[in-house]
Amino acid sequence: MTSTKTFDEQAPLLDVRSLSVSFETPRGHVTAVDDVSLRLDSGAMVCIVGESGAGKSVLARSIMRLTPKFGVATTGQVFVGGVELSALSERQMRDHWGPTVSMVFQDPMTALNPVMKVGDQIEEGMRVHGSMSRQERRAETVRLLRTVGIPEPDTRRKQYPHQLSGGMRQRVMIAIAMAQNPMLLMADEPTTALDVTIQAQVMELLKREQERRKMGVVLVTHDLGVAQAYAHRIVVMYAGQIVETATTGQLFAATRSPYTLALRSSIPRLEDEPHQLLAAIPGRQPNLTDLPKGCRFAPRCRFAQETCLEDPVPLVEDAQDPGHYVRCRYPAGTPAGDAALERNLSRGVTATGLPVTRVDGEVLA
Amino acid sequence: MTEVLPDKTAERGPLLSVQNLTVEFKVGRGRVAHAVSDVSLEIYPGETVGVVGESGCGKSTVGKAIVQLVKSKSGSIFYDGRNLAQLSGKELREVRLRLQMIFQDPISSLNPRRKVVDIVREPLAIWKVGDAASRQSRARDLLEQVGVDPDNAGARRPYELSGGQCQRVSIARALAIAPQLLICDEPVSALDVSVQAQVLNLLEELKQEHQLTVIFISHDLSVVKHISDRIVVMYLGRIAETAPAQDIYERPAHPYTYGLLAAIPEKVLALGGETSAAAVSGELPSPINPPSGCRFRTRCFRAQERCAREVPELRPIAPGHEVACHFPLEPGEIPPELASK
Repeated sequence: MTSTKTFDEQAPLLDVRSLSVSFETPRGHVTAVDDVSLRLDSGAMVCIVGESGAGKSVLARSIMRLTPKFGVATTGQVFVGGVELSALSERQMRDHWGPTVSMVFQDPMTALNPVMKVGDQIEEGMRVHGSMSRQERRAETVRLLRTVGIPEPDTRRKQYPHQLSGGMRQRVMIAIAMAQNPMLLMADEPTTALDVTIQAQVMELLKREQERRKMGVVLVTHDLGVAQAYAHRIVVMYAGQIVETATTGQLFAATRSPYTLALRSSIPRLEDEPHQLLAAIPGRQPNLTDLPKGCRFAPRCRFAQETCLEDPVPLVEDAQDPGHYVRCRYPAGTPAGDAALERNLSRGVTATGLPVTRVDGEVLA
Repeated sequence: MTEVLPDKTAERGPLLSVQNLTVEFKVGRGRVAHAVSDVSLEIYPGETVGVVGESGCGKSTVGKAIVQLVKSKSGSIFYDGRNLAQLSGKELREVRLRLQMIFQDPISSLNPRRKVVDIVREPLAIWKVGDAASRQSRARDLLEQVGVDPDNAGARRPYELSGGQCQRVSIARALAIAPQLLICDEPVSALDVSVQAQVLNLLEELKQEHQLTVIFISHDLSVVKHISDRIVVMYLGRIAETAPAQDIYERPAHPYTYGLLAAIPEKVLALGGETSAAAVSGELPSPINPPSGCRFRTRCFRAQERCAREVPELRPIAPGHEVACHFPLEPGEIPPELASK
C-alpha cells in the first residue's frame, strides 16, 4: 500500500528535528516536550524512558500528530521516510495513519471501541485504505489475530473487547496497528497494564514482528528494565528534555547522566540482599510551569555544582563515545563528574543544599 | 543492616495464623468465583511476609479477608490466638486497632475533602487517644516521621499532593494508633520508580522503629524480594510456593515461580526473550471454572497427566521451603523443556 507514496529510501525512517510541544494549563504555560531530536532506522527499536510527566507520551503523540488541534503549539519537524508529517494537513495525514505510522496505546480497554467487534476494528483500516474484498479482509483479520497469538481467531474476531482479557485486548491493539503494515510503530506503554508473564509474551511478539516486518518501533516506557531488555537505543527524558541518549550497550556500560544513574540505582534488583536500603532519588520532579533556570535535575542531583544553577545545559555528544549524548556539565564517570561528586561529598551538600552521603547500593558508572 | 529474621523457636507463637482460608464470590447465575482456596499461612512477630502473584491470584483478597473486609467462606484467621471470623462487631473493632491496612491507590484512599493533618488525626479521635491538643501534636509527629512537612503539606488536601506524598500520608494514618500488623496492598505500584524507592525505604525504617509485622502484597518480585523475609507465591487462589526470600530467587521449585522470575526484564536479558516468554504460556484461566488438579497446569511447561487428576499438596522440600507441585524443579535447575524452545 505504501508503494503509491514516494518515500526517500536513503533518509532515516524517523527523523525528529527540534520538536517542542507546549500548551496552556490552568496553572500556566507548559512546554511538555522541549527541543527533542531523534532518529531511528528501519528494523530498530528505540525506547523513550522517563517517569510520569517527563513528556514521553506527548512526544509520541506529537510524532503521530495526535495532539489536540487547538491550544497546543508545536514547533520543529517530524520526518518519516523522508516525508515531513509535521507539514501535512489532517486530511493528508489520514493516508499516513496506518500504512506509514501506527500506534499501540497503553490502556487497551479505553483505546478499543467497546461496541464494535474486534474483527471489525481490525478490518476498518483495510476498508479505508485498501482495495481488498470482504472475504480477503476477513481472511487477513484471522491471519493477523493468529500472528499476535490469539487462539481460535475465527471465534474471537466476532467478540467485543469486554469479552477478552487485558493481554488479549493488547494483542488486538497490536493487530490493528499492524494491519496496514506500518513502517513505524509507536507503542505507548503497551505492557504497563499487563502482568509480568503477559508482558514478556507481548514484548516478544512486538520484537518478532518488528524484525520480521523490518518495522521501526518507538517504545515509550517508564521501565528501564524493559528498555534494557529490548531496545537498540534508549532516550532518557526528564521534565520534557532528553537528558541522555545512547545505544543500550553504551548507556549501561557507561551511564553518564546523573539522572539516569540515580534512576538505575533506585530500582530494586534481584541480586540485592533483602532489606537493603534503596538509593532513592530525593525530592520530586519539578513543576513544568515553574522550572529551575539551569539544569532541571539539579535540585535532586548528587553532582550539582553552582554552575548547574545558572544556565540551561545543552545536550552534547561524548567525544570519547560517539553516539552517546548527555545533558550534563559533570557527567558521571568522567573526571569532571568525579571531581564534582567528591566536592559535594566532602562539603556534605550539593550546590542546591541537598545533603549527600556515600551510598552503598549506588550503581557506579 | 540488622538481621530481623524471626526466631521461630521462641515460645511465642505466630502473631497471625490463617488456616484453610477459602473465599468465594458470587458472580451471578449461580456461578462462583474461587478467589482464595484453602490457603494456610503463619506470620511471626517482626516478620515481613511478601505475597506475590499476578492479578487474579487472590493476593489482595487474602489481605482483605485477614482484616475482615471480605467474608471468608470457610477457614479461620487467628490473630494473637483469637479467631477473627467469630468476633462480634465491637470486639473486631478493637482487634483492628492492631491491624492496619495500606491500599494501592494512595489518592482515592484518602478523603479528598479533609486536610492531611485531620486525616492522620482521625484514628486518634475515633479512639479518643489523649486530648485534642495531644492528638494534633501526635498527628504532626507522624507526618514528620513519614517525611511530610506538617506545616506546609499538613494543611493541604490530598488532591494537592503527589501520589508519593499521599502514600506517605496513608502510612502515617495507619501508624497513628500504633498497630502491630501492617498489611500493605500494592503500596508502591502506582508510584514512579524514584518515589517508589523513597516509600520502600520509609517502610523499612518504620518497620524497625515501630517493630511492625508486615504483610506486603505485590505483583513485583523485585520489590517484594527487597522488603521481605519470607515470600508466598500465589496462583489462581492457591499457594504455589513459600520460602525464605533468598531461596525463592535462588532455588525456585515451582514452575510458576520460575516463570514469574524469568519474565522479569532483568532475567529476560540473561535467559533470552523466547525462553522467558515461553516459561509461562497462555493466559490465566477463569477463577469461576479453575482447572482440575493443579490450577497452573494449563500454562505449565512440565504438566503431566497426574497434574490434572490430583491437587498438589503444599509439602516441604527444604527448611522453611514448601512447594505445591508434583514435579518441582531441582535446586538451580534450568528447565530442559524451555531450552529446547
